[in-house]
Amino acid sequence: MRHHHIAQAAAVMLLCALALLQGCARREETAHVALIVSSSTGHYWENIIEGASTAAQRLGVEMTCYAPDEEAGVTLEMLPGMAVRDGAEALIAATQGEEELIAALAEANLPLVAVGTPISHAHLVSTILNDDAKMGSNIAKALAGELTAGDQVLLLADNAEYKPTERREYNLRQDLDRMGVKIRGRFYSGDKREWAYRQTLQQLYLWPELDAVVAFSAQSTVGASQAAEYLNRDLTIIGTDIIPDLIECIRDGSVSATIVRNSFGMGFLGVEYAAGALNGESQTGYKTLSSVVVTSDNLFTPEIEKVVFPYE
Amino acid sequence: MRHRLSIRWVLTLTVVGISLTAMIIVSSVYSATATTMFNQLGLSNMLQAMAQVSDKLSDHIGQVTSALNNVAKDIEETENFNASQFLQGVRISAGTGDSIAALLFVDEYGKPILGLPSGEIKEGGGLTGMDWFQQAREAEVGQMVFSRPHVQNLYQGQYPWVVSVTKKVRYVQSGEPCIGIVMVDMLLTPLHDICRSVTLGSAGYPFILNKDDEIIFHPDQKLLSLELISEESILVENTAQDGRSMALSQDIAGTDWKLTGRVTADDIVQNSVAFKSRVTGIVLSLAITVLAVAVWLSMQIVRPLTDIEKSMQRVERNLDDNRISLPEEGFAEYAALSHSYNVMLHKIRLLMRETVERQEQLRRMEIGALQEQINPHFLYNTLDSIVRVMETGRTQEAIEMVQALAKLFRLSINNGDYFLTVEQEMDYARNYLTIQQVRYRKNFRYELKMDENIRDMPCPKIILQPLIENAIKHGMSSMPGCTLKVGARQDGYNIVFTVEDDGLGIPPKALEELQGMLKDDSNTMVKKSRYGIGLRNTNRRIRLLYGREYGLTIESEAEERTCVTITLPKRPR
Repeated sequence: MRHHHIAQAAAVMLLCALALLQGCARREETAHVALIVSSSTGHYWENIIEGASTAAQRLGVEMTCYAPDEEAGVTLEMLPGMAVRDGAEALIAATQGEEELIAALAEANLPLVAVGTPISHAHLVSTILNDDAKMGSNIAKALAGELTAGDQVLLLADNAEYKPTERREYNLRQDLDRMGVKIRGRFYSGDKREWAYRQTLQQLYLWPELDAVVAFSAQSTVGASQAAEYLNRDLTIIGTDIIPDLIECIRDGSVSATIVRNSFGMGFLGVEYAAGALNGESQTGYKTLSSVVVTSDNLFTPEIEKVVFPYE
Repeated sequence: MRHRLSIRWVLTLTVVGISLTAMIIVSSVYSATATTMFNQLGLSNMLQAMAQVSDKLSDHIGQVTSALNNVAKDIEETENFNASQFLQGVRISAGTGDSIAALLFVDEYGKPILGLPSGEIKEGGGLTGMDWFQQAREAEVGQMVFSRPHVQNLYQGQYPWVVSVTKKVRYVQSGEPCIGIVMVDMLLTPLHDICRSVTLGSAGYPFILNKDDEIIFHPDQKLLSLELISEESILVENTAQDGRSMALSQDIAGTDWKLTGRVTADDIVQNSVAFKSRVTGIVLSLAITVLAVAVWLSMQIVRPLTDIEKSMQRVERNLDDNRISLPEEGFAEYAALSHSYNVMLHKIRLLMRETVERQEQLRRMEIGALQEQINPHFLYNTLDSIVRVMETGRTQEAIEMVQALAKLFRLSINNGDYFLTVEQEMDYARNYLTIQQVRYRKNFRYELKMDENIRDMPCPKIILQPLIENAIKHGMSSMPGCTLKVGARQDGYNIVFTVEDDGLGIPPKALEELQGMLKDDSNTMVKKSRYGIGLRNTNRRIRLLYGREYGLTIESEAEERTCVTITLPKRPR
């Protein structure tokens, strides 16, 4: 009997030792998050993806990006299911409010961080937004120095339809209305320079009295600038975001100002908040990132240099 | 008994306890020493890596400043400065092509005099607003000034991050002394590459601060720019010693910058932690080995003891089974112990057999004694004598004989007790003599004498009667007028009975045989002896009861006397 006791004691000690060694050798499991974006092309989306990748690398989180792919037959509503099947533990959704995608996100029973556009979701962790309302006002403010009542403005939008819930355009329209500036037309150009170029040319032919163009993407801003240059028209152009060609446009004065959003930061914080939620940290409900107005006057000031020419 | 620790446990716990204590003490001391050594080594490695980076940065910046100095010197030494002629002979050190974004010489009003690469340079109004120009203009002549990092915007379409290094110079142009500023835009990318070429441990990194703690380079510069991490936290890192990380700082020669390394405590102690893990693993392995050895050793030591214990239990259950004994094998000590135990067991078994035999003999003796009590011859002779006495009209004698016989029987029965008191034994002898005196027509006399202090002491019953019978039958029956003396006295711790007669005595040869028989009362001797079966039986009864130092002795002188002595211990029954 005693012999058994000693054997049992030895076995327990052996197990403890093995457990200890196992515990020492055990590595922490890596969290897996999924970034779902409405598009993978364009300055805004690419910056979100880059920011998310940077955060994932910095935090040691495994991140997979899911975007629609027409050639592969991958549609928006398929993305959340794909992420769940791949073992994602949290979702970061950078959308433009597409209803089919939001419905699919609702079916995924995972923590969600909404980026760029608010989403109603049962497991919503945080919402990270650009300060769209202020951005709309800033655009109006930039136009204010150039236009007077009765002037006409062309809008080159990055989404197909205007929704009053979209604060950026809503505020811009309100402010322009107060200024007595008329919106001649609203056209969808996405983040395509060619589309914006053609739309601007077409509208300038149709409405030679146009005074200004507001473009909601960097490529369409450059496209509008090129159209104005082509027709040798002195237009007031206010753009959105920044790319190298747009810097030159700002510098040579063909674009009066551009409103640069912190889309990199939105992607970065999206992953940071999702990873935090997986670690049990309580998250801020809403986080709003400011945009900056870049003009030829402030382009090389220390504050703007950091935003326009970020270190790689 | 059940609560006592077994030898196995004591051995195991002792061996394991001592071994573990020794291992823990040694490993703790060794580990503490090694930890300090490893930590110092880890820190030393970090500092060495920092020094290497600092040296590389210093070399790189040295090349740039050397180029600046060369150009400045050339400008100052030119007797009459001419930009187009100067450009042909400008000396920029080899290997600085990837380090310098631009070289510019402007007058004190910000007007470009010459520039490399050649191209359209931003006009003077723009230059004077730049930080580097303002810093240079406020500096002393010959003083080298490093600007904060900024985007170079001298040329269209090129916006590298640079640090402008400037030097105010005196030169002569058109015979007039002038003040100008030589500026070199040093690309930050090579500096970053140098810093990124080294990692301080797994999570540590170096970064560069200027004398005002402004960040020249940081690996998270983009995050800082976009305010995703705060600059304050970086500057706190520069000085914090929070236990989890440590800041190491080193000046970069030739600049007013300092290279700061942020290393985590985990990285510094990485080697010592790995060492501790290895030591812990070794100690655990040794502990398990020691435990196994201790268990095995204790089993080796204890197993023979357990076998002995089991054998003893078998012996305890089957003491009379001669086949059961301990195996005399294994360690010498156990073999010796087993041998001693077997010898002891053998002796115990002999003693047990002797005891059993003795008990058997006693039982037989008792039966014999009882048989003697009711000896039919004695009874017949006594009754015959009573009849004869009564026929002769000696009624009183007949009555006395009947009474004596009755007492004889009562004492011999004595409620089945094997013992009588000395007084009862003497009473028995008296009644027996009363009867025998009548039978032998009173041709002998007898005397009984007893010490009063032993009257109540016990003695085996009917030990005197065979002696008296022998004395009457062989010593006095054919010799009238003899006297028989029966005595009981105390001799030290013994009780001594004597039956002495002054009859015929015993012939020497017969006496010798009798004495031999009483000395060695084995069955062999008994068979050889022709004398005194009653004496022999009485002697054996006493020796069986009290041991060989007690019993009967006999002494006799032919034609004179015979005395038989019984010696018993004076002890309670």
